[in-house]
Amino acid sequence: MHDQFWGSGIALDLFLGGMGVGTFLYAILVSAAYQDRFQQVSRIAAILTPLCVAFGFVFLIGHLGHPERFYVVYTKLRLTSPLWWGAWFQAIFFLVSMAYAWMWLRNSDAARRRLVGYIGVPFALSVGVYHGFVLMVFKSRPLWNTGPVAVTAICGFVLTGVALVVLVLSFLPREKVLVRELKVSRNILGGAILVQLFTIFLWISSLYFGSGESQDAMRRLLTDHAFLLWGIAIVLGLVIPLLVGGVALIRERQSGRFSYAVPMLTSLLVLIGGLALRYVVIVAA
Amino acid sequence: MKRKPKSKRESAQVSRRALLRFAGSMCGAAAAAAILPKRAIADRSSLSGKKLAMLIDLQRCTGCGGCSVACKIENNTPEGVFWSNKLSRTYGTFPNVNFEYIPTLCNHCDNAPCVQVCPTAAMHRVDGGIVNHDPNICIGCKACAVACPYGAVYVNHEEPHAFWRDDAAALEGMTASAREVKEKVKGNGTPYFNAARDKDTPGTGIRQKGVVEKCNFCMHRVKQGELPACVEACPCNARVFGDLNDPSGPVSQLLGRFKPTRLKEHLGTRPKVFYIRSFNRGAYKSTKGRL
Repeated sequence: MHDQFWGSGIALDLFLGGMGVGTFLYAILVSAAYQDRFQQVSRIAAILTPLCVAFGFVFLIGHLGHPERFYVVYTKLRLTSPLWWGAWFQAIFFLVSMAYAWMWLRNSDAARRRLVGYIGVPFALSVGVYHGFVLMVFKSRPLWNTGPVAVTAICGFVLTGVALVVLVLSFLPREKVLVRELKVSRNILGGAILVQLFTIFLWISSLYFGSGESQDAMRRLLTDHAFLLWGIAIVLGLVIPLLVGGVALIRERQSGRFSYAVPMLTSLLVLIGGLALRYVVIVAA
Repeated sequence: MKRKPKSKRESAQVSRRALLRFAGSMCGAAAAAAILPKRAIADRSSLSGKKLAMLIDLQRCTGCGGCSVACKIENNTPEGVFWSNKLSRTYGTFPNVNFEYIPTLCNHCDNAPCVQVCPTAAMHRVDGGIVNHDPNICIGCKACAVACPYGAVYVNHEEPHAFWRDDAAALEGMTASAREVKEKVKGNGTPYFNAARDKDTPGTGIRQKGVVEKCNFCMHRVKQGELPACVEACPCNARVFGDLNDPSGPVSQLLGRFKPTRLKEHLGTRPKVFYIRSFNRGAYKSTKGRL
C-alpha cells in the first residue's frame, strides 16, 4: 500500500491545465475548419486558455513544499525528468496562449493570429501529452503505468476544453452567439464523450488483463472509489450528458426548436465528471 | 654595462630574503608532511569508483529492530519517519503459520526512479552509487516519493521534530519540558542538530518542512571509512556492507555463495540492497547443537 503524496492540488492542475490545452486546440480547430466564420467560439476558447493554464499552475505551485524555489527547475537541465519537461512546455505554452488570446482581444490580423496559433499547437500537444504521460512513467503505480491512462487523459483534456467553451457560450447573451456555433460545439462534445467512454473502457481493460499488481489496483479503483468513478465521473459526467443530449437532439429534429438549457447542463455535468475522473485517477493510485 | 657592487645593506637584505625563503620552504615542507598522510587516508576512504551495496542475511536477522533504533539515533529522524524500516507478514493457516520479517531501507537503485523524475536534481547520485538528497534545492514536488516503489522516501509535511516544541514535562514542576531544553541550548545548536550530516551536505543538519528525506547509507560515516549505523548496530551481523566492485569484498563473496533476491526486481530499478537465505523453518539447521 502506498502513501498518498499527490492529491487534489495535482488533480486540479492536471484538470485545469488539460482543459486549457483542450480550449486552445479547439480554438485552432474551429478557426481552421470554419475559416473564422465561428469567431465567437474561437475567441472565447482562446481567452479561456491562459486563464485555465494559469489557474492550474497556481494549484501546482500551491502543492509544492517550497513554492519559492520553483525557479530552480528552470536553472537545471534534467532531461530524464518528465516534470522538468512539463515545466518548460507549460511555461512556453502559457506565453504563446497569452499572445494568442491577446490577438483575439485586439482583433489582430487573422493571418498573423493564425500563425501564432499554429506555433502554439506543438506546445499545446506537448503539454497535453505531458499531462497524460506524466502519470504513465511511474512504474511504482500500476494504476498509472499503462498506455491507455495517457490516452484517457488526453481525450479528457479535449472533452473538458470543449465543454468549457460550450458552457461559456450558452451563458452569453443569445444575440451574440450563433445557434450554429453552439450546435457544432455540442455535436463535437457528444463525439468526445463517446471517445472518452471508450478510452476509460480501454484503460480498465488494460488493468484487468495486466499483471497481478495491475489487477489489485483495478480492484481498489472499482471498489474503494466506486462512487466517484462510476457515480460521478462516468454516469453523471458522461452517460447522463450523452443521454440528455441525444434526447434533446431527437426532439430538436422533430420540433425544430433549439434549447439553450441542454448544452449548458450537459457541459456542466461533463466538467464535474472530468474533475472527478482526474481526482480519482490521482488518489486511487 | 658594469653591475654596481652590492652594498652592505643590500647584502644584508639578500641574506634576510634567503633566510625567509628557506623558512618558507621549511614551513611548506612541514605543512605538506602534515597534510599528505591525511590525504592518503582520505583517498583510501574516497568513494569514487565504488559501488556500495548492502546485503541482508535473512536467516541471521532476528527482527530485533536494532537497525531501526540505531538509524533513528544516528540520523535523528522525526516521528513517523523510518529510514530503516521493515516488511512483515504472517501467512499460512493454523497450525502451519509462518512469520516473515524483511528489514528494508532505501535500495540506492542503479536505475533509481526517484533520481530520474526529480526536476531539480535534488535527488542525485554521488560517489559510491549512493542516492543522496539535497534539501536546499528540493522544491517539494514529491515526485520522488510517488516514483519510489519501495516507499523509502518520506515527506516532511509539517515542521519536523514536533517533540522539541512540546510543553509537557515528564514530571510537572520537576523535569524540564522538551521546549525548555531546546530553548536552553540555543546558541549551542538545537538538540536535534546533526553536525556530521550538515558538514557532509550543508543544510541537512536541521530538517526543513516541505521537503523529502530518505536513507543515504549513512554517507557521513561511510566517507570517514565507517560502516552505516544499522550495519554497525546489528547484533546478529545480518547486515553486510561493502563495495560490489571489489570481488574479494564481503558483499561480493556472499553474493557468490548464496543466490540473492531483491525487492520488486521486475520493475527494473536494479536495487543495491540484496537479501540472501530467506528464512525457511524446514531448512533451518541449528548452529548451537542439541541437548
